[in-house]
Amino acid sequence: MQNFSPYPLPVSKCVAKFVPKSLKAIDSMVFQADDKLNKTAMQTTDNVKRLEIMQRIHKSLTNGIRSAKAHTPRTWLKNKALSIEATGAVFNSGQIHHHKAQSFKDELASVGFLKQSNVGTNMGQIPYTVFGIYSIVFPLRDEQGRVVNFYAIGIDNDKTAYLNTEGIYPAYPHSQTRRLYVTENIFDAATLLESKVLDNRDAVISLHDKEMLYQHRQAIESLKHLEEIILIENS
Amino acid sequence: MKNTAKQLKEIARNASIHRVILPEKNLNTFYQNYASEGIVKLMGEAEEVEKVSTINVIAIDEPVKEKVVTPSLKGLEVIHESKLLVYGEHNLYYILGGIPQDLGSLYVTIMVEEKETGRKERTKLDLYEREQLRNLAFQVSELFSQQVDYIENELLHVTELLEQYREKQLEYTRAAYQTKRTHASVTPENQKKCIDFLSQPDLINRIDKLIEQAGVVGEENSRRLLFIIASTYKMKDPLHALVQGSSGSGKSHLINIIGSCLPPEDVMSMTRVTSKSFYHYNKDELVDKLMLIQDYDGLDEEAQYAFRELQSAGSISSSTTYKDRSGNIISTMKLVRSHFASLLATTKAEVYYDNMSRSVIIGIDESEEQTDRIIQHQNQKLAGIIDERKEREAREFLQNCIRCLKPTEVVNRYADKIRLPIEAKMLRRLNTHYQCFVKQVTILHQFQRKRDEQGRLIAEPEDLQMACNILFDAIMLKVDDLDTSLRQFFDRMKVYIKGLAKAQETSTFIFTQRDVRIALNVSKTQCFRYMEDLEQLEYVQKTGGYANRGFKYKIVYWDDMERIRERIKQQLTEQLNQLNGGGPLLVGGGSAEKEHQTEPPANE
Repeated sequence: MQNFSPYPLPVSKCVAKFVPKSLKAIDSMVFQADDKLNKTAMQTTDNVKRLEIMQRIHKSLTNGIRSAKAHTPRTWLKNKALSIEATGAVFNSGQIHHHKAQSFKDELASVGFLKQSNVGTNMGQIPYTVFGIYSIVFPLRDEQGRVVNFYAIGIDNDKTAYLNTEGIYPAYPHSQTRRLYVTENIFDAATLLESKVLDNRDAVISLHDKEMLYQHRQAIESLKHLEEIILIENS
Repeated sequence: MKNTAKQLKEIARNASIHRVILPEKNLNTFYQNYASEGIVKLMGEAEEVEKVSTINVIAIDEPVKEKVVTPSLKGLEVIHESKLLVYGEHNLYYILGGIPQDLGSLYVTIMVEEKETGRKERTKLDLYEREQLRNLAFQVSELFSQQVDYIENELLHVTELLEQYREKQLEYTRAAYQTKRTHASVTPENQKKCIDFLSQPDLINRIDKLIEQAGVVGEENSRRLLFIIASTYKMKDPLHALVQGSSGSGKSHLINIIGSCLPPEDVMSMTRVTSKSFYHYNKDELVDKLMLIQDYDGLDEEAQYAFRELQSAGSISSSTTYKDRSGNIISTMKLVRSHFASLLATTKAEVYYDNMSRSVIIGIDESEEQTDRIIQHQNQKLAGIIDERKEREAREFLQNCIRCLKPTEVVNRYADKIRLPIEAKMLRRLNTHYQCFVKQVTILHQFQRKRDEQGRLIAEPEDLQMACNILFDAIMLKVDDLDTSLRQFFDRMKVYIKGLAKAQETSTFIFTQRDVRIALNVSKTQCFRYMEDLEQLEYVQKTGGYANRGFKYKIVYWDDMERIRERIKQQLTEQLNQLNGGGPLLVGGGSAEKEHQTEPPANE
């Protein structure tokens, strides 16, 4: 799988978008690590709005996979032996902003789901590029279980992308977890969830493309009953 | 990825880290080829990445875990008594609070938590109401975007599990009410050892040595007496002892150690007794037991009354009411049988006048010599000179010996030959105590005494002698006006005052409380109380002084307990000698020959 990024910017810098200006001024002094900055940003009111938008996107994408017309994505999932219920997979047809008000498009753009493109149109409208168009999308969640990030796998081209660097797929592990499976990517984690090998006090989390970020570290540290970690590596 | 393992190790120090390397391109293709079983097998082959060495922390004083009996069921986890957890496929179902004991309904508070997101939905419902259950399933499915029938099935499963759990719980509680009597068995080798020991001559002194080894310092006479009284618990006539001493003198300590020398399955140690608790024991729960009550003052009136009845009548019955299932009130008689020996400790024996007659009163030795001995013992123990294992061994051996003793009938042919001093108070009860005590001494010697044709043990004059020696102090206490602590105080005071009077060559010496307090090293309150008691008993008199500046006292009655002691002892020895045909007796039990330590040397 090759990576494609919907942004000209590197993924890690996207975060700065959600930091209020006042904080931005002092970030270089006070906050050394990116991930700490990330956390501070979560507490702002902007963030509340952002979460709302993310939730709306998620709902829309959920409808996307349940729609009668979504034959292709369902077949794709079936071929991979994955189910919607177990994995939480949704579908992005790339038409979320079609026939919607400009304000909604602006909101989508503010979370980075849409990006203005320079392709010309004949309708006089602003053209947009959608994040992860025509792809199976897996939601990443924060500690409270709210959707904060998406991971897309293209149906036609197998390209993958993250919207940003927050959240954990499928979710933060339950506090009672005894055995934790750690996979390199979300696709493996989804397969493991689907396979139903997880026992009562087992959990799985996926790393951010082999990388362990702040939230992963934090999540694992908070598990008091953890006895075993199983790391699943691709050959 | 090696890096990741390293990082994980840093984060999760207590967890072991395993690694699986996928044989295929990714997990998904592997899953498609080998399905779940393949994955399970693969995960089972995970290799451990460098063992995490754990440092064992030695917990000092680990908290004692109370064993809570909770029925276990597969699929249902008991987090604690009022929080149960059922794992569903996508959701966790928590049952909060209790489950109704009435089998007709299953009204519970349920919390559904989505595994992935941790979102929660809480509600109260009766799981037997199908409509409510369906509504909840619908609600949850809307919220978590899951399928309705799926959730409904899981909820039905939860209902099933709860039903089973409740049944089991009922069984357990029912079983808990039926208290079982535990019996300890003695191995044949131990039995042989014990019987050998019990067949040896000079048994009482040997037992006494073991008691000393078990940790009782000094109190030679009291400890024999207490042990023999305690050992009567399963015999025909159990005895009761009331240990009296001022606070901090080691009363509870003494009875605790004596208690620990008896089979623990038969010992009930109670620090506090609520007023009605005696009435609610099972019918035979108080039969053949030894009761230790460390603070008899702590019992309230009603409990004391019940206790007295248990001691003398052998049973208490109460007429109470209970409600049956349909709410009718029904009266029942509840009977608790009792047959037990008891060791009680109290600071003020006088208050329990009713109890005094039922029990053998034992005074704690409060002399300075005894204090020295205790301090020495404590220090030796701390210095590691005294082996605690030896203490335990001695205790266990004595326990086994008591287990080997069989309750048997005793005939005492000499019973009518002994008359206790007429001066003693409550002579009728005291006489029965004495006779019972003789019996118990014979029972302890059961492997040495002859039996008559009915299989009854025959008491020897030796037994009477021993009983008399051991019980002598207790008999004297009954003769004496003052209780032990007061007697010891008064005797010391007499010596002190006498010395002063001699020095000043006056016949009556007038003194203040302070003089006595400082000379005898007694606390102010204690001294005041003693003086008040002595004044009431007319041993001392106020001769002057003022309430605000302190009164002056003089001793008006110089009793001579020592002489009375000697006289009574003389009488008893004469009687005993006659039993034996005039010859002097072997002294078996005897440290009573020794001078009473707190008695002042005879003056005049």
